[in-house]
Amino acid sequence: MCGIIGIVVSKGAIKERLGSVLRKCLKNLEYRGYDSVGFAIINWNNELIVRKSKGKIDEISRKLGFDDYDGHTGIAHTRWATHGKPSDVNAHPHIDCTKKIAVVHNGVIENYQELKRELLMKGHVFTSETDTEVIAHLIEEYKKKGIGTYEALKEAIRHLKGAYALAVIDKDEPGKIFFARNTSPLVIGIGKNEGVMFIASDIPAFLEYTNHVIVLNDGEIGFITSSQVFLEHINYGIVNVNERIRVVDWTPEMAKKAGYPHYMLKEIHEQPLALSSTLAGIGSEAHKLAELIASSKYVYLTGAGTSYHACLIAEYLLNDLVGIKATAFIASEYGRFRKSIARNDLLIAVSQSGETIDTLMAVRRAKNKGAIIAAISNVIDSAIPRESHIAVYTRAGPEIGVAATKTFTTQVLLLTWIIIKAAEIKGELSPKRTSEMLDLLKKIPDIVNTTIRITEPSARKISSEIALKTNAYYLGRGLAVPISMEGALKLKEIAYIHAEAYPAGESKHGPIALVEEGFPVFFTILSDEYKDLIIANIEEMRARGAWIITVAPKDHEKAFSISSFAFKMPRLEYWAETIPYIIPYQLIAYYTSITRGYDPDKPRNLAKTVTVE
Amino acid sequence: MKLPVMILAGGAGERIRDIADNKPKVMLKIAGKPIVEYVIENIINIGLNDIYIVTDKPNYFEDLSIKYGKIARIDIIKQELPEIRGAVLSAKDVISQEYFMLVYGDILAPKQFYSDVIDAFNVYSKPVMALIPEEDVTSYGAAIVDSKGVVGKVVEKPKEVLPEAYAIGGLYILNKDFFDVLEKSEDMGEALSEYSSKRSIIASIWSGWWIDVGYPWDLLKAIYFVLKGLDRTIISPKADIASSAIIKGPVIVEDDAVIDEYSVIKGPVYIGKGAYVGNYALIREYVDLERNVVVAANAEVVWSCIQDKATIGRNSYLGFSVVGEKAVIEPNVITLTLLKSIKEKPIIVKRRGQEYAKLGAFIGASSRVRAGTILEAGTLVKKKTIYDKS
Repeated sequence: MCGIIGIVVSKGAIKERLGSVLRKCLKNLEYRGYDSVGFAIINWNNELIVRKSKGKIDEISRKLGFDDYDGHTGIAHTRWATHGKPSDVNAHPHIDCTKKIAVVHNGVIENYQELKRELLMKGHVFTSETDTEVIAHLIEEYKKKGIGTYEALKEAIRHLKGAYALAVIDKDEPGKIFFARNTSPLVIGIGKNEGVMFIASDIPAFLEYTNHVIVLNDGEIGFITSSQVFLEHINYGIVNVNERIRVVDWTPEMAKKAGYPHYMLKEIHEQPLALSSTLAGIGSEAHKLAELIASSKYVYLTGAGTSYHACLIAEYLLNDLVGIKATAFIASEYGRFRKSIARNDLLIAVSQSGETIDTLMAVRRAKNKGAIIAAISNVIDSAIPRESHIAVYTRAGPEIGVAATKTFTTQVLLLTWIIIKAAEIKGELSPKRTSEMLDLLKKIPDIVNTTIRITEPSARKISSEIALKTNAYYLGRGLAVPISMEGALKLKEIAYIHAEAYPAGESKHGPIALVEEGFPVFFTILSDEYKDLIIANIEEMRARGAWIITVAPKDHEKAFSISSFAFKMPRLEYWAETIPYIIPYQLIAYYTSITRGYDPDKPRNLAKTVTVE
Repeated sequence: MKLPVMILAGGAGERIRDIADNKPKVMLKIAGKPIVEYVIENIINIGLNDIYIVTDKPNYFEDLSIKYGKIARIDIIKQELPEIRGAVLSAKDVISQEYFMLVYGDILAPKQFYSDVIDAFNVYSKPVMALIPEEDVTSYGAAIVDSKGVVGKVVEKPKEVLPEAYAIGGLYILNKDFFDVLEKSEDMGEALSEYSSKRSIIASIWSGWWIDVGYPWDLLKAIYFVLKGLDRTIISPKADIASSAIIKGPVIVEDDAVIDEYSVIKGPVYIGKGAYVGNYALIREYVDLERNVVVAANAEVVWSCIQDKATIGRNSYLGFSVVGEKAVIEPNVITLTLLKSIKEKPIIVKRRGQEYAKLGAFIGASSRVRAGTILEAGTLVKKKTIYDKS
């Protein structure tokens, strides 16, 4: 995964130098990759300047002299190495033999070795080990036929296999950025000021300068100038750009840390706001989805990582509140349902970014089988919503921390709302009971605010002890199982502590063998039918010397009396407790991560949006 | 950015009086520097250089304006009125800019603590206040935050634990008009509550390390975080290191320090100017020996903070302890460090896969612990007294 930004400006359209705008936008993309950085600018004398280096943006921006360069056309890149180790030569942009064409790329070119071989035979000289460099030489090669840069790029695209988002500049055609998208995300930003145009891997990159965006589809290719967008689909021809412009209601502050030490902590604290915005944004699409659910015989739910945990909560509620057959599955495991999924079954695909490749593939395959597809996403017009029959959006704002927090709670809130509504439509809930339940959902943002305030100091305190551990179990029953799974995932992904979640009843069928003196076991207890049954599971663990941390309704004295550490939570109805009860686990993972000296925003080996299978 | 900074360096420091004696507690040293210098250096490092130190004992601070004179302008302001409210009002007239930064001088935190508050100020253009997620807010002051991240009620001296409150971090950016509100208020808490209801103070939640030096054991936390940051060994060419001494891990040894034959130093450790480590002495991790400290032959010291001119006698064992200036620990004194119950604020350490709660002794300035004494975990030896085993 990498971050791309490109900007074209006309004279006087921006006050800052182009280089420093590129640097600022690139900084917003840093979460997508941070091992090397580079930029290419065509200056006002139409000279091409390329500077690049290994290292993080803050460390090397002065060395590269970002702020010293001005011009009208520029591209920049922050890299997360896939082909070729992080180094100065492997950093993007890559240029052709004539040193006129500069390319930045996110994705993987699968057939780059054979393309490289052909180009080498034709006498091209390669300087890096990357797959990206072939693109620059390929365009150079086609230009030799006497065609323009855009036609040459189109020709090159026909020969590329794999996933890519590209931005290309050419000294021969200054004032344009050529682009192409296949699988890897790419977004155009139309500047607030006239005479500024952006292209980037995602919206937060340029949010400070504009909120008017066009999210590109796979197979789309085109170029931008300082005032115009030319866009076409490689197979279906020219696209009407005006119809594609969307206005996002994200603010630039949302994409900044704004006084918090990490994005993740900020996003945890933003949850009350994200939840109330999501509630306020519920409209006809959510109603439509509720109707679709009520009329479906079978509902599948799919997602990856945290989104899958939201699916598991929805699966439980669909069975429990609506009485509908529902199955959640991990998106990459789609294969197991390829025969059973049938025409008019409903598939609800949950993805924060709307670009998760595994989820997208499951969507495509189910769609081919005639299933109806509904998307739940946080990014308007992203790939999965566009390929779905209906899309409902969470309004969490941009989430930059790699570990999902506010997008999880908003997904759960939105799904819970839709499922309650579906139960009403199906006649499972009376209108009076429905409005009672929806009223309780409206209180969730405030309840979450109180929960953050009450649990944060305890989570910070206990993290110094958890930081010394190497393993942990997260146990619960019923709806508390997916909460436990999400809690365990958080601890794994940012604190690097091995953590497993199990249904508490399953723990004595194996996992308990590992429990010894001081082994941490987290119990999540909701106000449901299991709240007393689970006491026996706590006792089992306690008998083996486990260190027990319990998250339970505040009056559950029995559970707290046999626990070493208690998070006393607000008592609600069990189906509404899912959202506040994940808060202590988010905070525990965050504080454990920083106690262990890690950066929770940039966990090793992980990327925010996984766009490769 | 032109943002004047007011550092509050007064306060009686009653809870740490036995260690600090007459000195302002912000002049207690950590790894060779008074606490207040860490604050000053962080402020200078984020690009601010117009500094006012408010203190009831100006003579202790005069050297600072010379020491930092080339990179910052430091003025010393005499504190005329009591409490935080009084300190802030004492400096009211020197603040000419619209906004100013207010810093408590007894807070130790990394540079990012300060730069985050500046970030919040730059984004929102509103007053900002740093808050810490601490369970027990009674020692620090408490603030409630609403769902938009704006500070609500602030209590300067909470009498009980408030479940929804954060601890006051001791770092603010405020507008000049705060002075008018403060003048009409009883205390800082009342003024901040009132001011936020009009101007909306943005809460900047800080999650990193943060130490409010109030109790002696806070110095143990402080040396941990400061020495943990050491990434290399620096030995002054003017130090006298015996060839048979073993020095391992990051260690700083200052001018004129003497490390005698067969001693073992296991970093991270700080050994101040003119300090002496005797034959066969064992200095283990997180030890801070300030200027002219003597550790006599065969003594063992672990995770302790020893202020200027104190002496640790031959054959003594000192762990998880703080020793005030000029204190003398006679030979064969043993500190017991394993706590039976966790009621104090122990240091949790992991050794060979096991966790232990440790706390040693707190030995007042200019006191004397008689030879052969066994000090129970958590013992306080009052300043200028003689502690006998009987």
